[in-house]
Amino acid sequence: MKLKDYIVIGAIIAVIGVFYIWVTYFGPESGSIALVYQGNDVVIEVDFDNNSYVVFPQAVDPNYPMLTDPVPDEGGDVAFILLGAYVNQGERTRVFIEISWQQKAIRIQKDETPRQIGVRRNWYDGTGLPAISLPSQVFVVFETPVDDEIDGVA
Amino acid sequence: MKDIKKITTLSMLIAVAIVLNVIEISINIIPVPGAKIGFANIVTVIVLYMYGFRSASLVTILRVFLVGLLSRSFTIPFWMGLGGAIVSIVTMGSLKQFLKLHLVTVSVLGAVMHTLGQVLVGIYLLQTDLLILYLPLMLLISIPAGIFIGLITQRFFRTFKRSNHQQSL
Repeated sequence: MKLKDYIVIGAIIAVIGVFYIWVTYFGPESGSIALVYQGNDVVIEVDFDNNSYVVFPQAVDPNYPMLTDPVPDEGGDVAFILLGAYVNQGERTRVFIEISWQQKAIRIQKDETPRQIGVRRNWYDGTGLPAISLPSQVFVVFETPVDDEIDGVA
Repeated sequence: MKDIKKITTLSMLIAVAIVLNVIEISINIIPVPGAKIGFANIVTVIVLYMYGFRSASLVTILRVFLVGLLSRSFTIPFWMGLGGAIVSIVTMGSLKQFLKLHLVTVSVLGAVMHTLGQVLVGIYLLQTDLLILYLPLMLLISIPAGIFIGLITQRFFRTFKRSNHQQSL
């Protein structure tokens, strides 16, 4: 390897390192509201401050997200089944979402798609990599609650 | 005759790339969701240096399509993989041709551009910028992965040349 190769690799490491530090330490702050998206629609909104949730029926089948039992002894308190975008034998596959009030975290517990990348992410509390299932187009995001109060004008 | 040898070699290399790809999908070496070393790219770099840009592009695109066909999965990850592979091979081909960089450097830049390409395709297809959060870590992983792939390819060519030299004696 010549000097120019070391310079190129060094420059790449420096640029990516700065980008990593910037996103990790100065990136968006995670809040206490978890939003579960299917495609571009929010289907479940979880408020970890009040331990409450709101479910928004899916356009493809209003019976989903459907409440189900969480897996015993794995920390989940509430579980939902929703329909993902992945189609197998003509039917949309299901995605199992679990909420843990104690851990203030959410996870994709089961995903009927081949690669299970979102499932391997396990419990997500808003820090680090988000929980994403690309084939199902299911994304879990944490946001800061929006203050709805409007400042009064004297 | 020369063409038959080339076609046979490329076919075998595509088969090797598919096997490497399928094995890597089933075993998760890196404990980060979605991240992988990209062992199949060893074949891409080998073909790029043995037969040039056109053959390497053909092998890479065929490999991505055949793996998609085998797993019957032409979903968004497939298009992301294809996008990343195209950006990567174009980058590596250009760097090799015009900047005359070392094989390991070409491999590193190919790995980085593969990650960048697939995330950009994902953002475009999913209409969500959430994937950007994956980008810094994936890019960091792609550097050692690229170095690793480059070193294996370099080792392959050393062994290949030595073996060819011994056969000619």
